[in-house]
Amino acid sequence: MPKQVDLKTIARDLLTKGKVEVFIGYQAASLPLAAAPLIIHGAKDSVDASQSMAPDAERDMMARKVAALIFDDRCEMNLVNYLHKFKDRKTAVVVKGCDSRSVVGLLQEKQVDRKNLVIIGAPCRGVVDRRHVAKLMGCDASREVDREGEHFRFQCAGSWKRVKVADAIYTACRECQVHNPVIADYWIGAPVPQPDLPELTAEMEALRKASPDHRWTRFHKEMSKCILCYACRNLCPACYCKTCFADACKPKWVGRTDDPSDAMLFHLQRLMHLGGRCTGCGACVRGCPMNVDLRLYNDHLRSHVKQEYGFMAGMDSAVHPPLAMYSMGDCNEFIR
Amino acid sequence: MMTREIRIIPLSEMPAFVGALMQGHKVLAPTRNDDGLCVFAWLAAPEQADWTCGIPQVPPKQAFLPRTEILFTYHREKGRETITPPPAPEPQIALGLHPCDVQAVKVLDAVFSAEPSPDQPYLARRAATTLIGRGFTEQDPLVFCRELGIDPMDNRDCDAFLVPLAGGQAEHTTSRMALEILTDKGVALRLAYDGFPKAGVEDLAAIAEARKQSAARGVPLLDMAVIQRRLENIFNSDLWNRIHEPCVGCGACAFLCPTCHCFDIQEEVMGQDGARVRVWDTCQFDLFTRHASGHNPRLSQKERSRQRIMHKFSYGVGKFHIPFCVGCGRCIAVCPAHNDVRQILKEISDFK
Repeated sequence: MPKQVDLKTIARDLLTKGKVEVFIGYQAASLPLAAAPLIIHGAKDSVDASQSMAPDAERDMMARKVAALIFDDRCEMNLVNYLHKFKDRKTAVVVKGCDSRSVVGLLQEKQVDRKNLVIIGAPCRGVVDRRHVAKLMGCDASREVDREGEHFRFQCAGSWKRVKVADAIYTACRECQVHNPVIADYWIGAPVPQPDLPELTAEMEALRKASPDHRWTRFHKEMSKCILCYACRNLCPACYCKTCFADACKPKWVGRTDDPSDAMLFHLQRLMHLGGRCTGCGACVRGCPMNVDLRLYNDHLRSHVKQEYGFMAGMDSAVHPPLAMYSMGDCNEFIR
Repeated sequence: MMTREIRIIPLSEMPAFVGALMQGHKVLAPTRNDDGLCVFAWLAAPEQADWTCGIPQVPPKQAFLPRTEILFTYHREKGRETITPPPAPEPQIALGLHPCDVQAVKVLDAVFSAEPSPDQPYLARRAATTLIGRGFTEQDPLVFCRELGIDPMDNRDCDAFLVPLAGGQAEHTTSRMALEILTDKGVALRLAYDGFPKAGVEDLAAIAEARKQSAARGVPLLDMAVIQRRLENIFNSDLWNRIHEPCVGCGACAFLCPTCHCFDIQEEVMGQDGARVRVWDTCQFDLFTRHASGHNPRLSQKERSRQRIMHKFSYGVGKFHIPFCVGCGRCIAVCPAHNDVRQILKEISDFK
């Protein structure tokens, strides 16, 4: 069990003692119910973002940023995505249960070096879906979240409303099977209980039983919302290809028109690339400006990988992902 | 602007008015999609226009710069090509634009009518459009158009303008809309508004009062001249290292920006037939500046994030004397990293 520490204390310690060059955490965002990434550079950062600052000013800025660190129900972003930016530098990153699985994924795929990583685990009971809360409150500017047991209190235009936690957090969080980080050097909170969940959600059962026509209509509708801004791809820690197929232009593989077939091709290809790799962190869904619900398709893919290979992505860095290995004992002859 | 006349439309009668506008026009208006999200979209029925929306997340620029625009189609046979221009745009109405979105149309007008090569497809759509703005008494916390000098009750550059009367927009208690007819294009909508009563003395007083209150809400203006001058001197500054760092390089901010207008030209070919189309593009993508040689002058997100700020607050001002940002707040609402453009502007202003 990793040691439990205070977030700001450990950040200050790691940065001032030069144990890490970069610390990636959260700060309150300018929007209500939202947190933004906070990237802090230490005194010994080899590629310091503020090279021209005087040492005193630099220390001040670092102290100010450390003081601004938070971790709570607003911290939705999967910060593991930023590890690609700081590849060869000693980096500390705050991860929730879901995010920790992305770290494992990157370790399995040898995209990050464990020696360069300090993992700050944050046990998490789910993060607030601010767009959904705005809908519940009938107000786009809900603020001041307050947690009382199994309820949140939200304020909007002067009035308060109690909302059940399960109604205010993301669907991905309600279905989360890993509330506590699977890999961490330190924990910034006590482990939280993991609720028992069915193998397949009711929604997934229904989708599997639905007629092809029904599924096609739904897929068509979801894809028609997409504007191909690629926020889903750019937010996904598992999407790190140097040149994405969607950006290939000699030849061009994916069109960029508003014909839904272009969005379909992009998302289907991306889904295929994520088979056995998607951990279900929900970064793509939360970041989509058009509310495209990719979750169901990712869930579907994950449930198949689990059924066929008994594999859950991002749980154990010593295990090879099923679609990245073969076995001489494979039941299929063609692969032997 | 000289107001030709003012009609009063009860909110309950708005569908009838919108329905009348839809006779002979395509109408783009604020509407809620199935997810409850406010977006500008082409109406299929008059009831779809939603007057409870603030600034819709999807901007109205699609009326002039569609996400996909066919420039021409072609057919190839026996080494010969036949080129067919697209049909002329139909008459259309962009309805319910917040004054900041109207300002954004002015930005697009400046860019696409610039000599020596005015953009014909854009200008044709623009000429076929009647702009009906809409005043707002409340301001969403993300909107900072006032700081840029845009008054949410200002009817300038519109053909017609709706002023909400009675009650604030936040309480959704607007009970009537005053329709101000401002130009010949506005007057051409006579058939749609003729059945509604002319504004009485009390209505005129209420409109004047709403404008007065809006104008009285002074906020400290952002000094665009200072920001532009500062930007001219900090192209190579380390400041950009900090500004770009949280950015994940997606195109959400640009695609949902009412003034971002960069595009890519692509060929959509099937057998002998093809179309040359232009599609939305953004300087936030690596591919945007990648040369055929493979060289990319904007190699990292640092250069791309800088370009976005430079284009909006320096190049635009320098060339067209108008900032390419109207303070609508959409990029703040949709940025997955919550990289707030207001904070970026503050950092630039404070930078020594």
